[in-house]
Amino acid sequence: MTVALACVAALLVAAAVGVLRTRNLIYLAFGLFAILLAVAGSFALAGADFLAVTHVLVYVGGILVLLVFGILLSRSRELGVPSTRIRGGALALVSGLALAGGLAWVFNPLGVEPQLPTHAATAAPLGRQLLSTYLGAFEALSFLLLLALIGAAYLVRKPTPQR
Amino acid sequence: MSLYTVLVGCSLVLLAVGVTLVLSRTNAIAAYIGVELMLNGGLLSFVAQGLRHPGVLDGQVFVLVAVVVAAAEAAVALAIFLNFYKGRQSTDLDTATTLRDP
Repeated sequence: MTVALACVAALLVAAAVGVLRTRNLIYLAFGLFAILLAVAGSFALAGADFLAVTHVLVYVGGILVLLVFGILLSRSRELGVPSTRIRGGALALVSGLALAGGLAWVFNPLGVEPQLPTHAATAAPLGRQLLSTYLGAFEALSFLLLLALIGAAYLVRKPTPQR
Repeated sequence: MSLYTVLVGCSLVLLAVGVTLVLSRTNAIAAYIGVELMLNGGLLSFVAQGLRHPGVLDGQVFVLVAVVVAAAEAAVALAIFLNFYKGRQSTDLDTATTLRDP
């Protein structure tokens, strides 16, 4: 348990450092891939087995592939490699660390008693809650997915020829 | 260190990295990756806080809902980026000075 947790945390921190250092968008996408895997691993360690699998399916299988398509389809002409410029990196890093530090002070994670998760299957209770307590959110989500589908198709449509 | 401490620490790292990317990268897709990292930090925080209340799965339901919203958002965001690229031949945010195609 401790070893697995250390591996996941090390992967996450290493990928985070890599993401901060690189300018290449493809490397950035690979860093995001490592981070998503680490997050899925943390979910599994925290006893959220269904979420871990869903995270890999939706994020790595869907969003990341979409992102790589976006990177490859939008290459800038003057820069050969799809890359980004960095401006005000130090100031941005300081603001990010300040925000995270403030939240750490609010959460105070060191002051909480350690508690081991219960490793029981969560798919059935999650589904039961989603279809009873959170039925409204579930319905709203299905409607949102329909709207996003139509909206995305509308945004990238071919312009109709003018008469 | 307990599992809870490490998970909250990881979520804060993700938040810091995401904020840094959004504030300092001039490419729209790089900034979007920053947004995704911040979102993942939030999701991880939900699950970590759930550790303090064993048997309560509300945080995990919130994560499921947020993941679906993120998937919808990714589709629309990439469509917007491709439209943006069509008009300017680049996804650099510095060139985003008008709402319509230049």
